[in-house]
Amino acid sequence: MANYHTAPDCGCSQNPPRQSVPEKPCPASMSGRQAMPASCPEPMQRRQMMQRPCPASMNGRPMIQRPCPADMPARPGMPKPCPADMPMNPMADCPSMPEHCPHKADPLAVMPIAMAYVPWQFFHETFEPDKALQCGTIFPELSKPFYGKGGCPK
Amino acid sequence: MKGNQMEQMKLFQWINMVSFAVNDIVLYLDTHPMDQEAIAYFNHFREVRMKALKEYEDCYGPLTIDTAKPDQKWLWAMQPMPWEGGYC
Repeated sequence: MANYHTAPDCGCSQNPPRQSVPEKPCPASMSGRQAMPASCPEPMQRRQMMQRPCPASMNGRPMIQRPCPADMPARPGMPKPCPADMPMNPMADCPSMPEHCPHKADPLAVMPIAMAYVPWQFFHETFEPDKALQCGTIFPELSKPFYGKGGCPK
Repeated sequence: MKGNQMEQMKLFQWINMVSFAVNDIVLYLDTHPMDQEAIAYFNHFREVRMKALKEYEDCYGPLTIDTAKPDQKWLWAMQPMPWEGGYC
């Protein structure tokens, strides 16, 4: 029985040399029409789409001078900004924030996005058992009755 | 409602209250296993609950299977069902 671990030739060399994978045929040339010898027009259309104006500047407001992210060249060597170096409260002067909203300053603005945070709870006072059963918690700080109103107006 | 039923209802409500307190502090202790105040709270209300359950069992029959003590008969199955006005 052959020792497949030590055999100098495992048989792989008998396989024909690997051929390069043919390029994916152009969908436009597969429809039975005359094959196009030149490059497929599909990628060209894609490139043209990238050069369209940024949607952010298409609403007729010329004041937007920010570059469209799609037009920005990729800069792989560019270091990402550290969240700690970011301004403390970038939401404070956000124009979309209503003036009368009491929660204008967002204390979570410096936190990384897509992470959930639960502040640590400490044992302080507790409700009496009858009140606790009514409120659904023994902790007064967790008693949050829902009135169907309040919060920031949208 | 007769006086006896009123007392039973009151005791049943008290058991509900202290059972909820035990339940809720268990949730807290799951994330705060070393909190001595919470452990004392748990021990206190666990004791209160066990006493109330025992009292209920003595007066009206077992409310939970933990306090069902089969003696001469299996009283657990002979009590009124919840849809018959029973509590267990």
